[in-house]
Amino acid sequence: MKTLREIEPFAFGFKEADVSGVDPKYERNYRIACGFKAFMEKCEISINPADWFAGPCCEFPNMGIHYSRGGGIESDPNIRNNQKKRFPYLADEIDVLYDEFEPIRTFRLTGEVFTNNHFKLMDNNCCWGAGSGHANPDYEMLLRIGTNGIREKINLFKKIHTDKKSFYDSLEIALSALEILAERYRILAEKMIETASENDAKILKRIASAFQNIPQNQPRDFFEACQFFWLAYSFIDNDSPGLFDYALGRYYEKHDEQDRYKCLEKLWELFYKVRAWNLCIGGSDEFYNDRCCELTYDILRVAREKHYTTPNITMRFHRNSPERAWKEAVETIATGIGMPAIYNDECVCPALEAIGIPASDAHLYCMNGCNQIDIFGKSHMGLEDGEISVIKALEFALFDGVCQKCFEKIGLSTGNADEFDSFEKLLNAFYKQTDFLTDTVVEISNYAQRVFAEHAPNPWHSLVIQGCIEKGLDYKNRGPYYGHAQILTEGLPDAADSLAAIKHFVFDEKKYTMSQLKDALQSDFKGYENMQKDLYSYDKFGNDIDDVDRIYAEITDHIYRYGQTKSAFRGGKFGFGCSTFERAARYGASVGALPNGRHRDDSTLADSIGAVPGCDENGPTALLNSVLKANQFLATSGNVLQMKFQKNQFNTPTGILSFIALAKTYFRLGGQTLQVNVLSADELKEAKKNPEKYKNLIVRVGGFSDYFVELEEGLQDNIIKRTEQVM
Amino acid sequence: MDGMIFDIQRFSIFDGTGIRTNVFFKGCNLKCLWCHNPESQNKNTELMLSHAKCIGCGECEIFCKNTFTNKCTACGKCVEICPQNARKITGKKVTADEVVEEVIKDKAFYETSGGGVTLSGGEPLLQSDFAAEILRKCKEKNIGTAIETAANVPWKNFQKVLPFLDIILCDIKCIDEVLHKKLTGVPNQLILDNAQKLKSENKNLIFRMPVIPTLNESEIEKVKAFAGNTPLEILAYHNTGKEKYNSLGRKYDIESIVPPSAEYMKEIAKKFSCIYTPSGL
Repeated sequence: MKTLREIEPFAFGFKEADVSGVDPKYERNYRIACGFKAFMEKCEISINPADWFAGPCCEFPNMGIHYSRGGGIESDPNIRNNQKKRFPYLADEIDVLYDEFEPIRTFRLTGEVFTNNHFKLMDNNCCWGAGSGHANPDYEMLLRIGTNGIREKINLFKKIHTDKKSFYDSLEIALSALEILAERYRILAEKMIETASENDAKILKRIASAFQNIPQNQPRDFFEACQFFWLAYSFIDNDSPGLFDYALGRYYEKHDEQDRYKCLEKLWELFYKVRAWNLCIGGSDEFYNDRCCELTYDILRVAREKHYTTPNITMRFHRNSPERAWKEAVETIATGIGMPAIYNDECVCPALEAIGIPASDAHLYCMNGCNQIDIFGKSHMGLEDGEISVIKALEFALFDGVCQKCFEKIGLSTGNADEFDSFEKLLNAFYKQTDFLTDTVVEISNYAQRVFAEHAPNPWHSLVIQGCIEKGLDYKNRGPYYGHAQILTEGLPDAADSLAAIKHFVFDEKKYTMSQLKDALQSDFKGYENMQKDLYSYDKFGNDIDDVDRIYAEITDHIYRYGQTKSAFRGGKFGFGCSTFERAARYGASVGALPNGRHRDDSTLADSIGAVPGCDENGPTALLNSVLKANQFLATSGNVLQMKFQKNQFNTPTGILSFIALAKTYFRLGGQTLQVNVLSADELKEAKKNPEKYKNLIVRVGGFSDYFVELEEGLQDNIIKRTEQVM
Repeated sequence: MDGMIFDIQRFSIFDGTGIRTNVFFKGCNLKCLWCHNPESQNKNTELMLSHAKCIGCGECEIFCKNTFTNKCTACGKCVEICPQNARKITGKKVTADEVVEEVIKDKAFYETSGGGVTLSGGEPLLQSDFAAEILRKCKEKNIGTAIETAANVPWKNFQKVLPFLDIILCDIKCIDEVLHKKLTGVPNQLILDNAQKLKSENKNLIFRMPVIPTLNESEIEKVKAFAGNTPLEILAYHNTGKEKYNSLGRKYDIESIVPPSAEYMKEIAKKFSCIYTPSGL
């Protein structure tokens, strides 16, 4: 029978940390580090030789009270109830412990900022904020200098920041936690060898031998590099592997060809098992020298062969990308896994430089989570700080702040739209509403950032994200070199189409009055069928039609630039981006009928920066030209464009070559990213009807891959509707 | 100058090199049994009805009794009335400038891919002055040019466009004159004469032959012999145009013919040293 102490190692490490002599300013850092260490000393570990590599891969919520990258100190009721269910005989003690942690539970603290109106705005999907998720640790540095090197770094800066001894002490404790865990695995592996089969023993010997060297020192070969990576990666949370080929390529080059590929396959299986987020390959340095190596191409190969939905693969391209990189990337896309997503260094890097990141670091960008842009090992920005619904802002502008779903005034008062005598006045009211939503997100997000800094420092990320040790500041408290915040827009193309239609029918042609339009929207076009037809068949964004594309470009410019005037607590500004993915249906269901002719019950919204599904009729070049009219260099959080191509047509050499030319042209003209689905609409319709027959049908939903049959119906319809691009 | 077209299709990749914009001219003096663009044959505007969208509400018939009779003038009024958006008018008078304005939008894509504009149809050379003006203006703007023709026009029509053309895709359906008349409604002497003359023009010339199982397969060898050193591309028959016949209120006469497989096409291409580019259809 386990004791409470055994099932809650983090909590006891945290509670019982000896803080005598610890600077009260860093008491929380110290306690969390002690919690970490206690957890790594006591958590259950096992080695499955078939995995090849050992790592904790702790399963939430069986960890009990713990520290997570996204939630800080986590002790919420789900975890409490889970523990009580697992250990009913400890129920009372568990309650006492969790009650004790309740006042410092991070999400409880971040939630304190929410007003009633905030809740209503979030419940009605107008905006959302206060996330604190992903990070990209510097695995390149960690592997290269090992924990010995990190310790040297700590000692060096400890001597400089003499007032921050306790900060560095907590880092050392967190660092020792990793070494302790590694040593436990070494001992376990050696013990297991005695009774293992011949094959298993071989692997266990390899693991034990690796842990004699790592994590203190640089790996001696690719196996050790993988083992080191896997230990560190699964140590805190399974997040994004980041610039994987950049970090591990050098070990790969020198290793036996057969064995190294086997190692990669094994690691890939583990990535899939833990649903690893985003792995980024290729790209260039600040002088546009290409960084592709053998590992880059073998990652594409293993992705083609394994056909997994995770990790999401991002591949970076630039003016000097070799033809082989293009060819193999497209061959991989053509297998139907929807990966890699391709990114343009020549758009992303200048965009990052424009917000003050030097070229050498801008060229270390990678993706975090789905598609948020991060600087590998040097930033705390690759996460969602918030979202705003641009289409909801338009609804507010038309109805003086009244939500057309809950019928309460939760937006800003911007006046009765009936009295707007020019399109500019409507646009102005719309901008006030988008600014209001941005301000709301900035407020709640900055509050959350401060709460994390004060109550939930992260000693582990402080070790492996550069800037923290150097400045003597925690990862959550402005330690990393870059701390830009990120907000994503939802329904931006829908707003552009709606505004274009209003401009045309209400202000230019004066075919309908504003009051008629509002009536029509409120009655979901009942009795206004002709108006609906007019609105629906009016020019739409995504067809290379200047008038509507210009509105799209203007509102993008306003919203994105407004964000950049707002400072983030972490340092830097609020950058914008657009990636809707699976959220489109949710945000779509939260608005009434729309001036682009969309009915109230239709949950369709545009996917990310692309056209509203079914509205781009002029083919892929027209869609790209439309998108390119907006300044993509402002999109520091990622501007995702999804395109769908028919599978069979992608499999012809002509099709592949023309796709490469299409992508290269898009990039040459300043496009940021393309994510490509290779599917037929018929296939998807069939899949919707007979999910059991299509269980293996992978769909790329933005940077997040899933099985089509697992998606909700609204999203399935959305994907089917998205115009099938004719190749 | 203006002309009659029925479509402009961007990102076309199977009619000439690279990424192209196809301009489809309306009007053709052949009536091939397998034609996948039946709306290209009549040189005037026509009414098309999507049977999938039509719910048979009858609004259109109350409004106009001439729908799909030979009295229909394709005035387009029933298109506006249809609550299902099931009707459309195919065919549009446009100026050469309007066409060029549309074509130039994808110039960057042509540059990357070695593409350009392709005049197709219908038969673009039945409106050869219009075609020539579009091509001349495209050349002035450094856009690659191609034409796809059935070549059943006087040679002087060719002479108008040749100075502005990079690529010529010339169809040869079959060599046997009787068979040609049966399949396309016209004899082929003029076509073969023109094709012969094109060989001596210093252009990127490609002959193209649609392979229609049971109808013209027996002619492949003869067409190849006629082509001689000029590349011959074979195109697989497909029936994706079938629905369009239905929309035009016309009958599709070769319902029973099964499209050839890619493997079969590859085999023929190998046997007769032809080019075959699988389109993935």
